[in-house]
Amino acid sequence: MRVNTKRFGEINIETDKIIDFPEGIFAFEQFHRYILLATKEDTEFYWLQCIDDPGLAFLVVNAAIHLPRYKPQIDNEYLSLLGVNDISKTECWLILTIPSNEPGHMTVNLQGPLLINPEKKAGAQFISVDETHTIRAPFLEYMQTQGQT
Amino acid sequence: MLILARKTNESIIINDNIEILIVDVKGDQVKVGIKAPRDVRVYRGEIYAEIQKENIEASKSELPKDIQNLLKKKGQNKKSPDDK
Repeated sequence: MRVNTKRFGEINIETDKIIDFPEGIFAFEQFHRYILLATKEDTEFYWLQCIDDPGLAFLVVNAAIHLPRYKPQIDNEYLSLLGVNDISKTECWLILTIPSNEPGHMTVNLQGPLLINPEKKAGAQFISVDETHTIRAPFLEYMQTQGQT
Repeated sequence: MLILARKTNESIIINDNIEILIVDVKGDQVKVGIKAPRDVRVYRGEIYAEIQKENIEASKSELPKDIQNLLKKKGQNKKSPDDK
């Protein structure tokens, strides 16, 4: 399937890679179909590209890789939206915000993680009720603390 | 928007399966009880609004060209045996 993307122009994607966000992403509730595309820079950063709106894409990181200690606190009942009853059956992705004038001050949204059920290709944004999970955590610094044992 | 006046211990039913109960009113603070199916996600409005705002901000992000350097610079002190 041909889709238009914000960063890569028109590309060909396999339809089975499409992730359905039945409730959208907060502030973009009208859009439901996304796809994860690796960034060219090969940093394990991905674009979560919206298929319904080519101009919409989020920079995301896989929490298990970059922030292995991060465990969002989400009521298991809410996960039924993704067809699972346990968070361990989901992949956790976190959205980065990178200010164009000060990219070194990039932040990661720990309060609003994206969970994806890779089997059903279903995703949703949740709110972690852990009070230490802030909405604008300094990403580079936080990643460092996560790397320590 | 529908606006209803309620007293303590009075409630509102939404869609046959969600009940909003006014538990207590003190000054400008209202305690609200919510009975809903367990998969109905209930969030405080201001947190929801904050995340909406942040998502809009995040959607404008560009990946900086020197991202590798930024990551390296920060990672200098990191002692990780399985560094890629």
